[in-house]
Amino acid sequence: MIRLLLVEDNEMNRDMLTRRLKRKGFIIDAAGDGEQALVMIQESIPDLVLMDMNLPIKNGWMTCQEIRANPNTKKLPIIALTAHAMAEDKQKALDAGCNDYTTKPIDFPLLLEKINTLLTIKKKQGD
Amino acid sequence: MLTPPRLTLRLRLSISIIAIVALFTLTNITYQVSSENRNLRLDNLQNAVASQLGIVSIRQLLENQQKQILVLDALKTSKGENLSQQEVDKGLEGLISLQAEIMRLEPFVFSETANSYNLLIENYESLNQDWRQFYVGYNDKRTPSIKKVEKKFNTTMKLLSEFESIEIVATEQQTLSLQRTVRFTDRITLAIYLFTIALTVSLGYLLIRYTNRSLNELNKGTVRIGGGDLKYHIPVNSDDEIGDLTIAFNQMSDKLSNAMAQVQQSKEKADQANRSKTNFLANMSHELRTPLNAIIGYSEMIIEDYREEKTLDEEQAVEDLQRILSSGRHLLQLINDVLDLAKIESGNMTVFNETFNSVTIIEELLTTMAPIAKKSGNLIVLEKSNDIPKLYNDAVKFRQLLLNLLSNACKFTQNGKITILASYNEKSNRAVFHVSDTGIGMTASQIDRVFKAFVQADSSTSKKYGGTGLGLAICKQFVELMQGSMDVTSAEGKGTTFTVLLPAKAIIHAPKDAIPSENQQELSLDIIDQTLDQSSQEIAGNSLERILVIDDDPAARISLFRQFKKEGYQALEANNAKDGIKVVNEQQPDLILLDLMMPNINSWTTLSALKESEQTRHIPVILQSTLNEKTSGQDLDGTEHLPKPVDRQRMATALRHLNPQDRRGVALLIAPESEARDSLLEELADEAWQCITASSDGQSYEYLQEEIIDIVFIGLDIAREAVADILVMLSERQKNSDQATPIYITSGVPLSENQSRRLDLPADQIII
Repeated sequence: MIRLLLVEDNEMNRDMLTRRLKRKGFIIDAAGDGEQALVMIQESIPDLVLMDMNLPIKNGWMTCQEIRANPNTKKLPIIALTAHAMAEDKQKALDAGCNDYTTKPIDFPLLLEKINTLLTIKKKQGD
Repeated sequence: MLTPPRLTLRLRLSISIIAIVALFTLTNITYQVSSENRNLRLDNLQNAVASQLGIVSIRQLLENQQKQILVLDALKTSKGENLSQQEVDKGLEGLISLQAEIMRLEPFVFSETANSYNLLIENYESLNQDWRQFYVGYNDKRTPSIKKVEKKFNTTMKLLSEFESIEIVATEQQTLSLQRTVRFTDRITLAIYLFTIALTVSLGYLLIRYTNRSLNELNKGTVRIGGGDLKYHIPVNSDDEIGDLTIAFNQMSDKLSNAMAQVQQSKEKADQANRSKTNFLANMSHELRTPLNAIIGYSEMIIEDYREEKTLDEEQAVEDLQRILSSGRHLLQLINDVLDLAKIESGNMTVFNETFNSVTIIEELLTTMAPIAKKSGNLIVLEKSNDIPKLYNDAVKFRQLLLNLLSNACKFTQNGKITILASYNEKSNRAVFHVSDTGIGMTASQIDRVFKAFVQADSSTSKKYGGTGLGLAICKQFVELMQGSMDVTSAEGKGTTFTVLLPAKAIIHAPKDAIPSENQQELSLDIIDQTLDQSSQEIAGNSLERILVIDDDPAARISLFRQFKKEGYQALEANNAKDGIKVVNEQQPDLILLDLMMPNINSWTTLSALKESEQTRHIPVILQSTLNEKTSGQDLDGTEHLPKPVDRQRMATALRHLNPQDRRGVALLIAPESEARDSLLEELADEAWQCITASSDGQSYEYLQEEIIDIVFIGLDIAREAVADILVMLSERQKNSDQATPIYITSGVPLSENQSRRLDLPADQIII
């Protein structure tokens, strides 16, 4: 089973994505802020992280940088989810260490495709 | 005191030219003088030569005459010959010519030689007389003694020699003096000439050097200023035309510099505005996407659920739909706020001034806010001084402003106290309103940004506390429109105080006709009500039965159509104006809902057509549009405006306005005595409802059994079981009656969708 960590502070969006992804057969862990996400990753590394960027306590960009700084999670795939839709926002997310980026409102099939692509790449690299 | 004249370039040149001309004239004069002296000298020389020649000739003649006399005397003595008359005449003639010769000397006589000359003439005349005597008396032997004659002759000769010598000396002296004068004038001429040359050269040099220097400075300055150094000032070192030019040039560069600075400033402002706009747009995009994410996500999920499982978990689906709804409402609020802001920024927000009592509005707001305050465990306190005058300002905006501040205070305060302090500052003639809370407060940098659009103290606060982040920006703009000022003080963790100052103008009792009905763009709600009352009276006696919906958008049309059907109206529909008018003529509906934004159709024309026709004029029209405008439609009678998306409650209110039969019903309020109940009572009474209150369930049973109740309000403060009982009773009652009684549940605490669903109440509306 594939385990995803969803970091999202908006209760509605967290609930919605968790349920939709669960139905697609993923196991979902959810965190409400960056700090919590880092703690959860420390405990057990998920297969992929879906990260909102505007997070309380520790924002998404800083959280990503910390994930990348840790050798254990250096290659952990991260997809940024954000309502910031400008080109520079995308670059900002990629610069922070995200592998991919998708804007809200989320195009669910596209998100699934991105998740699968990253997991495939990860699997190949693992092999 | 006389100020010395300015030494201008022109003056310099003029002085130089005058000096040169003067010197030139002087040279000429001296030359003339010396030239005249020269001529005089020449004349003198000529005279001297002539007088010398004359003297020599006179001497010769005198000697000849004497010799002749001596010869004649000797002849007479020795031979005694007589002279012929011819000879006598010849002798006399000689004498005359001698006399003439002597007289010719007269012009050459100087003052120095005059004495000598006179003496000479005197002697000569005496001699001449003797000589004459000699000739005349020669033949008669009566001649004067020759010795005497000889003596006179000798004296004359001597005097002639004297005269000659004196004449020579005088001539020499005169010549000498003339020579000196000539030399002197020559020298002067030369000096002046040389001086003129020197002066001309030096003046020219100075002029060229000085002008050149000034022009060089000017040129240097021009090049520097031309090169963009607008701060450069050309040194002004002369008080003349070039100095003036330099000053003018400096002024020009100053003006240019100022103009450039202004241009730069405007450019920076424009850039700043542009950046703000871009930022605003980015923020706006972010803010719009967040609720859209929930709307789209949940909608997709419900569709997926349904498609995959062919059935829906009802509880889950309602909960999800509720989320879609609340996100949609949030989105709508956001758009309305943005439109408000845009309206203010474009200067289209009108202020409708009226005289109102601020404290009354605040007291009303306290009632409105009570449930929200209760929800967050806050206590709202109003402290007011008694001297607050009535304000002449925009009451609606004042209400919105304070509502916003109070909601904010409630939002950011948990289990605290919110104080409204209303007072009057007599000195500044301003009404002062403080709204203080004991909430989370703000840091200094947060305070700086608090009035900016889309900024909440922390980006995460909007997620935690909700809100569009536009409320305070709008408030600030409102206050400015209302000619007041707004400020904030805050301490992190301790609370925030917003202070609003509004001008407390002298109370103006506006006469009734001072409210222009034609020109006024935004009519007050009262006037709309009046309009509606009139149109309602026109259709008095006819209850509202048939409603026609004219809208090209099938989703909107069908939604309204269904809603009306559900509410027991006979609903009619048309998807364009032409069909609409046809239906109106055929079916004569009691009310028309007209969409304002249909493609290819001018709805205003349709509205005018409806209002112009005798058959359709009386039918009230509700205009619908996505534009939040309610101005144009009011020119026509019997129209009400509803913005899209249509809010059910607003629609119900609008319908109630238009349906006179619903206006005077009996309302039953089941709730314990409270401020909230009192305010609801007031509102209902305002709407011409007859109100009955019941504070216990027993009492309400009685009323429900005995009275004809048109509407029921139930406060949730009533024990839940009791509520359930009342509802059961109502539904029983409704089964027996042909008309449904609307039930409203009012609540001090908000219910989650889940809770209300669990209550399974057939309530039409839950008012929180």
